[in-house]
Amino acid sequence: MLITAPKIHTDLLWDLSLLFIGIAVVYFFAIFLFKKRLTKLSKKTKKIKQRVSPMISEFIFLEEDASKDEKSSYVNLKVEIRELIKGKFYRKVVTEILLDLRKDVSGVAQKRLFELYKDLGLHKESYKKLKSLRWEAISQGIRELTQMQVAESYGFVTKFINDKRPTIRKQAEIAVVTLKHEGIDYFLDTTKHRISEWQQLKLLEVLGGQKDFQPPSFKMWLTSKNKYVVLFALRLIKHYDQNDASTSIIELVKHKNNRIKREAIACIKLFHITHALETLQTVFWNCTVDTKIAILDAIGNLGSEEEVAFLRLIDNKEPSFSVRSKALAAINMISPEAVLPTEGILDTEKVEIPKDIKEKKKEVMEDHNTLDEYIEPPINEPAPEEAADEHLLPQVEQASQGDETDIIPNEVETTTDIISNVAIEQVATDEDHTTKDPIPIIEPMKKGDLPKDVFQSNKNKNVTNSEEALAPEKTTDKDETLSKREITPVFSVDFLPLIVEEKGIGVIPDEKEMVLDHMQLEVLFDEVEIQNRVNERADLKDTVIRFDVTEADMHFIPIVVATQDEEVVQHDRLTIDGPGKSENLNEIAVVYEEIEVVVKTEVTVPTDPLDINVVYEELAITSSRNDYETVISDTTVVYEEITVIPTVEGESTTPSEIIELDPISLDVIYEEIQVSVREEEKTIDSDMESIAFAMTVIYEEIKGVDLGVALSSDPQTVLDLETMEVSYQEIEEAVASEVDSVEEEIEEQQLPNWLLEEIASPAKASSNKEPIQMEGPDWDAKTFKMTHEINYFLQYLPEPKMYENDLNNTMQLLDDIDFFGDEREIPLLEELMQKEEKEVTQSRIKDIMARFQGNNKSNTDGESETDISAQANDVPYSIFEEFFRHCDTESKLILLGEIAPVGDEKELYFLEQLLDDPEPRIRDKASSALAQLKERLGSVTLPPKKENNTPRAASVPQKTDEEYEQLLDEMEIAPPKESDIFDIGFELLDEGQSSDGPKEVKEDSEDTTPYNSRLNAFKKSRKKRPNDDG
Amino acid sequence: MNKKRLLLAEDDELLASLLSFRLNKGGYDVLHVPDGKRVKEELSEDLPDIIVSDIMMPYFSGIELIDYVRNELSSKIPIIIISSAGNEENVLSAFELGANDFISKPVSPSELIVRVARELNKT
Repeated sequence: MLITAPKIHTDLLWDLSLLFIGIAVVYFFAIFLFKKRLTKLSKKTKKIKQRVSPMISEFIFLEEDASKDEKSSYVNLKVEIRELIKGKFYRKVVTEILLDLRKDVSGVAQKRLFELYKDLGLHKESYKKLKSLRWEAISQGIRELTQMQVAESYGFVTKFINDKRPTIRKQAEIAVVTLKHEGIDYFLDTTKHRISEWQQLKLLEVLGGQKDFQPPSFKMWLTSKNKYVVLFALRLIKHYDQNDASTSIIELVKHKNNRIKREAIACIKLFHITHALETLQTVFWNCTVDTKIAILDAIGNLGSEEEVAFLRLIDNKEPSFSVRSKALAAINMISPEAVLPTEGILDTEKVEIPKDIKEKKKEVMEDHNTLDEYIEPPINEPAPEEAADEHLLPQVEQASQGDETDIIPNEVETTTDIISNVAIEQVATDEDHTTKDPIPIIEPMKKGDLPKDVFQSNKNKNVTNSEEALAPEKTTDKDETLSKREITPVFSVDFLPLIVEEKGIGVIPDEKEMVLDHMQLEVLFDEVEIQNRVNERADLKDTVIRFDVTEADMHFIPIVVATQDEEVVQHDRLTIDGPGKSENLNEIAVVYEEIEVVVKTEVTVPTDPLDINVVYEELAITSSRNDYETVISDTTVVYEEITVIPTVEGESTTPSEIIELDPISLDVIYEEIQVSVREEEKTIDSDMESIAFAMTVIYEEIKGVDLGVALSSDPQTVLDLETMEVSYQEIEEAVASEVDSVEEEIEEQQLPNWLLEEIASPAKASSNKEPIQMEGPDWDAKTFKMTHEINYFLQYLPEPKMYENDLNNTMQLLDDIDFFGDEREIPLLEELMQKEEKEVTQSRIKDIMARFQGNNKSNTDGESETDISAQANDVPYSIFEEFFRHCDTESKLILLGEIAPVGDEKELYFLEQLLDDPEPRIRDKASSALAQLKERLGSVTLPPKKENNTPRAASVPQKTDEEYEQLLDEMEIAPPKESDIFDIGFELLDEGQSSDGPKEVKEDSEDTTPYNSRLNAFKKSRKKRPNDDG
Repeated sequence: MNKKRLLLAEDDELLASLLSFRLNKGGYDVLHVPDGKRVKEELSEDLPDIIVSDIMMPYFSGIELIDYVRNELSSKIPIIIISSAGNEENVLSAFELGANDFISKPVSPSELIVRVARELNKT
């Protein structure tokens, strides 16, 4: 069967060819047009940019002190650019220019750029983009508003925080955080979606770039239901070092999410939360490898010796190589070099050392044996073969070769403390060369104390050390140096610890066996210098090791003193004794929370009362005036706190002397002293100038503060101030002599005129008071100086203004009207004015009226509270007004939008007020809201707008009684019948006359005019008021 | 009083326009050049009193420009470099080659004026 080519009609082929050619032509033509269009657009854009950029520069750099021409040019340019941006393309280009420039400029220029953006209304274009259905348009709109710092857009952007489209959401997140400082709070509170790592970095960058940003307490979001918020909050906590959430962080270590867990661990490590170690150990076994490594890292940083066992356990049990390695690293972090390298370490036993070196070593060892007994055994480099076979680190070798059980005790001693024990022990061991006495040894650790690995590693450690010491190149190259070093006296290598074999204790070893290589040993003591050890050698024969340590050597150890004050412990020497117990300095656990150093000193305190510094915290003097005949009948002087501080003359202390206590020399803090001056007798002179006072000083509480003064045991010297009765009989005229100096001080303080006048005539002032005499046990005349000073100041208190009884009540009434009243009282005041004949009363009434009518200048500056409240009562209260005080512009705009549909008449006045708002947008919004509200409510008349400085009462025509009655007649309203309630006869009692006594009806009570009725009612109410002291 | 001549080498037209405007207003005669090649041409003709140059420019970078001025022209006219933030290596190179000062983007025009004035006062 033959396969033949399909027969295609030639015409069809031509047709297809033409079709494809046509499509290609159209395609290329479209591309050509598209490219041409792009080029055209690009050229147009460039042209616009060239045209607009100088304008923008002009706008940005226009200065306030610019010339008239510049300002004129500025205005023209503004008009021009406004015309330009009416076109959409122009608007787009100008926005692009501003966005580009924003990236390149900073400072004031950038700020003006933002202002220009808003000023040209370009942000409205961005707002429009937010309403678009296309995600890219919304995203671009948010970006523009964010970059141009349009803070007002915050409210519009927040709604995109949980948008389902991630691009918009991320843009909105950045915008919210950028536009307002509290945006981060809103974002963390609101977001329900994942916050990617990149987004977290971006947000952190935004927060970092914000000026004056006060980070909130991010621990608040550790409880968020969104795990990404928790994670981000942890990172922010770490970033801003907010270490006040340790408990929550520890709890988050138990979180299921590994990233949160790791972040919490990082926080624990950063903030050094040591009490999290237990939790870390608990959660360790259920973690992933990464988390385990993080935990081990934290334990290594925070842990102590207590955690070593846990780390050893991990080393034994953990299958992961990385975790095991980290565990060992953590052990070494806690206890440096507790674990040494074990992998790839050569076996030193098989190392061959040249024969000549071995011989040299032998010679050296022989030389060493001939050395003086005070010379330390040389630092020997043992011959490799011999060392390997016989003498090399006997205890280590034997241990490594023998049963592991036997070597445990010595090998376990790898930790710092244990090694240090051995180190000190070796001082005694060293003496065995001569004394051969048995030396106590530290109780070795049991095998079970630490895992097997520990022993192995320690074994290897020793081997490693020996290997280093036996390195052939070292021994050959530095042969001479080593020989010199071998004979180095003991004093130079005291700080090196020595290791001794347990078995050898008490047995005199072979001399060769006693050779120890110091180079193999760890150096444990960097600072401890043990001196005079040679002198102590004799003591080592006993089982007590004694070190003579000078104070200078042990200065780093805290001074230990007894907590009792009477005990003073001196440390001249630090003696450590006791067999096998506390030979090791490192074993002394000295943990002093607080070290008290008590020094007993007796201080000479001067007894001169003139040196008392009296601090008056507060001096309140209250006087009562029941009537004009009683002048300061009850004066109470309350000293909030008076501290009497004795002045110490120099620093003359006489430690051995015990000084008698002078009560004045005490530092006394009077919690409260009440000095009540009461009227002694009711014998008041007619001129009211000589009043006898009796002053009782009540000391509520007196605290003696010990100034280091040893109190005398003599009870007579103790002043009982509680029982002291002080009566003032006489005022020394000598006070006047001090007036001059005080006067200057007072004048400097710009005291009121009355006080200055009083100061100017001290003699007069002093003559107003009776001389004061003081009584009391052991009371010295000098000690009254304080009281005199108080008295001196008291005399400058203002003299009370005395009115006649009736006048006094009237003035009191006027005072009250002045204080409580407002312009509504003007008719009453006018009525009063007509009635009153006394000039002083009229003057007072005029003052009050003037104030109420707003004529008083002081009141024109600011309305009194009563005025404001009175006005506020007339103004309809709008709930929106309250909200407006506490929200931003965007919120205000939203609120205004709500007023129109839900508001009522009360909002009309409020909206009208907003028409004067400085913010144009609020004005516009308020205007539209007002219009809508009016439309909704129908024709509602607004309450009359008040003029601030025009009291309403002033505009109300005052009507006389006749006019009033006429008005009532016109309105056909019958006047109310006279009620009995207001028909009260008032009885004013004389001073001292009791209510039970004979009543004397005053003339005033018979006056039944409305004014007098009110006045008398008021007077009566005042009379009845208890404790009325004005 | 003659205005000090300032050569502004900046490829960003908008920024250059803004800075030129400010510098002009600050009393300098500004010559804006958009690339390194033209900078060389301008410098070979006449030397300005001070050069303000961006580091990243077409044809020749700001670093090469400094090298050219200091080594080939052997001129000590002050050169202020404008660099982007995070471009410390280039800034160090510029200083090594003899740049007098640098200012990082975003540029504060007022700050630039102060720096230019300071460099000119030094000479």
